[in-house]
Amino acid sequence: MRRGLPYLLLFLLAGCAGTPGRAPSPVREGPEQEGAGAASSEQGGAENSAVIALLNSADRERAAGRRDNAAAMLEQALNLEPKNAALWCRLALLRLQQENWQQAAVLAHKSNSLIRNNNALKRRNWRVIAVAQRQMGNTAAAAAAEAEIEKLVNGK
Amino acid sequence: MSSKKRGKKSGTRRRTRTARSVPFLWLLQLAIILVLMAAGYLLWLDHRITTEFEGRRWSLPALVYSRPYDLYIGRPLNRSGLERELQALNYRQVAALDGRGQYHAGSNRLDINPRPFTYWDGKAPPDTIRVEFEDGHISNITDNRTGGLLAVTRLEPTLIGKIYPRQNEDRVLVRYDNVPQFLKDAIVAVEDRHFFAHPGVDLRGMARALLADIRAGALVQGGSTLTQQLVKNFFFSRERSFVRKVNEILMALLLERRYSKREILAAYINEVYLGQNGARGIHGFGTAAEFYFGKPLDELAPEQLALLVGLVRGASYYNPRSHPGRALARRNLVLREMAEQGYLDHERARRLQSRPPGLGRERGWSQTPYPAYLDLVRRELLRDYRMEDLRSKGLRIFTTLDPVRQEAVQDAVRRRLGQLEQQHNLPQGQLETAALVVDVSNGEVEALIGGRHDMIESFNRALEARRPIGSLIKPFIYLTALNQPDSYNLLSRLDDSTVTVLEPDGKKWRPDNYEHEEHGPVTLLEALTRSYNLATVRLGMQLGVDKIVATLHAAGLEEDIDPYPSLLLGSLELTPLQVAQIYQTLANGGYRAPLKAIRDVLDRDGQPLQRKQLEVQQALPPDADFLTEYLLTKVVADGTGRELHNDFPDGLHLAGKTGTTNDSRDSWFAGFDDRYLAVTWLGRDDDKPTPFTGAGGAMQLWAAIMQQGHPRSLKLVDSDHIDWTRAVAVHYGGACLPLDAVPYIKGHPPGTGMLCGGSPFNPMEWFR
Repeated sequence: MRRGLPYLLLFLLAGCAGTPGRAPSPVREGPEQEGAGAASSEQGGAENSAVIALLNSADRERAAGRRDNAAAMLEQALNLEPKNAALWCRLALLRLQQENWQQAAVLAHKSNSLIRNNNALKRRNWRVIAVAQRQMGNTAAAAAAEAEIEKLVNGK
Repeated sequence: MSSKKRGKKSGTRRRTRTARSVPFLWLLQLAIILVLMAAGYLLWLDHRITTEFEGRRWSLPALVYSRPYDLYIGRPLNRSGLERELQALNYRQVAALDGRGQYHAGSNRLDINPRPFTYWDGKAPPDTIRVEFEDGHISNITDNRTGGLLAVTRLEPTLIGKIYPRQNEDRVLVRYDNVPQFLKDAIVAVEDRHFFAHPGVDLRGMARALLADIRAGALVQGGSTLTQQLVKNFFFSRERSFVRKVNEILMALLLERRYSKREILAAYINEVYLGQNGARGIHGFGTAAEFYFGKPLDELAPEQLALLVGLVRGASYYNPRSHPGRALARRNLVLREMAEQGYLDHERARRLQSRPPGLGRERGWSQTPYPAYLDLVRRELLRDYRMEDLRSKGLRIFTTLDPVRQEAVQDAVRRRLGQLEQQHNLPQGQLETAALVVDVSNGEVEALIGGRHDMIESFNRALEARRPIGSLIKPFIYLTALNQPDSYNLLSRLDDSTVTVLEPDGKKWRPDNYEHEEHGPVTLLEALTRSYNLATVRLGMQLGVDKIVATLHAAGLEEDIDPYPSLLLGSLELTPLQVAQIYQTLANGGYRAPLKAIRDVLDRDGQPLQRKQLEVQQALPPDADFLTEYLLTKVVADGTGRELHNDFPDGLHLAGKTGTTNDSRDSWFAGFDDRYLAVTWLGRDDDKPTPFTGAGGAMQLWAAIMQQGHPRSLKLVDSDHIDWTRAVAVHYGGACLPLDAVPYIKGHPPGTGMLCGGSPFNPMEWFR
């Protein structure tokens, strides 16, 4: 059951949005549609400095082993930008650390549902899903997630 | 009784020895018995007073708070908006900051000294912060002491309610060390000047009081020590008798033997009765400070503390709200007494005496301003805690309520209801309503209306009124269909023509459209956005009613549902809360977040007991959910919700669904922007018809609610599995509706059968 963990921790260091402190990745919107309404991305928006500060605090809390606090801060960041896929990915990673496999997988899926073209972020989410599914003993689901990673790597 | 029996027995034995010692022995025995009885009695009193003392020290109501007021760079907020919030929290505007709970206003900035408050993460706010504004946003937040940038900080949450101990008493406990010295001095000076010297009873004080009473010919001084008063408070009764007085003295002496002066004074400060708020007694100076001045005790000015001390002698007689003259005279007496005993000089006393009483605005804070919301909180708490613990352990409960939004929603609903009644010439006050505002991404309930007179605790319609949901069920039918992309897409042809359905009980059911007409072949898009009943029933019967039930369960409906065909037109009865749950899932890309009103629970010492983590579940198929959300934007753009364009700026995308039941007994609207879902219901408690369709009634309330919250245009994010057609025109409402593009699940493009003039003829050409 623990096979995935060293791999997971290595991977955790990679994070979801590159180096901590950088602005989170933008969410690709769907094409401009009447009604479905695509608007400009929130990247560079006024709320970013607050989100970045929360991410930095969350990193500090996580490094200090206070994962619940880190999670609370990520949730607060999500309150500011609920459609920011990178934030959902970070929360998914934290749930992995908290060994909450089920939520880790769901949150990674949720992150993916907000992305269209950011393949790097998508790969990370699928990796979270693969690890979480393996931890839960769902080998088939884990293999399917790994196949998605393959597809993304080969597709580019 | 038993000691008497024993006495008789032993007496009989001894009589045989010597007759002369009999009276003496009898007396001795009697004395021993009396001493034993007295000792037993004292022990009993001691036990009683100790239990009471300890019990009181630990019995505290649970405190229920709103969410904290977040301040962060980029938050849309101007200076006056924040000032209003500070005033609502009873912050004082000053020329220069010198204490907690104060602020200073500059040209485009505010300096604030936030109150200390223990949050879940143990973070305390800095001493003073500077908040700067630019173009209606917070542009900068700095820690004034370090000069460092603060991207995020917060003001303390509002206390929105308490869950009380059984005695129905209110209490804000203060620690002895946090009690201003001025208050301690004033209490001792006025109530018991030898407090630190006497053993619990003050004979000199009693004699002096008696003399004063005789001289005045009336009861002017009590002569009771603080310890005696404390005892009296514990066993509160108006009875005045000799026995009671003796008990009181004995208990006071016992209490002093067991506890230090400090402990007794602390208990007194937290116990003494200082007023009445409805059915609830105001006990202790901490509670009274909040009740009369709306501030914590340690922020009160000396003359305010003196006023509170004046209340000890008669809280209703000297009530500063009903008898300001008396209260002021009594306060000034307290100040003079303090000066005479040397606690402050006469000059300062005179200065303080000339100040106004400085009462805070009367707020029914002890009766929650949001009873319907608190009801939701209480129900959620009872899932995890025992009522006993809630009432007595001093838990601190942090909810998801946004007071600003709640107030705005209350005002909006009240105003719009009145307008609707006027427009339709209805008698005022018959319409009832319920509404909820939910954060789509995490299920947090931010505001809740249980009825139009929400200030009174009454029937909470948002949680308890089960009403048929009408067409609000339709999106779940269409989502079930769209999850079968082989058979259905947005431009599938449905048949809106008369249909007869056989119910399980053998009855024939012949549904009808709202306008009693058939529309023939229509697109799936038109059938939902115009809410056609016949097409929907035919579609639902093709899919199977049990499939629809399964979709509702997946979306978060937790109860058994009978799969009757009439379910397809919303005979299902749900509460607004249940509707909000299934629409939250729908609006969140198919991810269900259980609706919640509680974020964290701390114990009395600020230690976290429970944190409700953000939790979501993938509940509805994402691609079908995306298409359904798209359909709901079309309801607002071209369908039954198009009147919303009167209330919102052009280009603001919203999504939602109207619902109306037979004879307009229920008018519903469930809709969302990019961030918030609101569900509104309008109807009558006696279930009589109203003149309102979903669009004419509940949707109007919905618009009023959403207008209050700076709506954000809905942005739907499509996945890799979604493709879009080229611009097309489709048959719609007997005309041709041009669409920029129509989404479909990859590999399952719509057919061209429902296209009309202007659309390309070659199907190969109109897919991108």
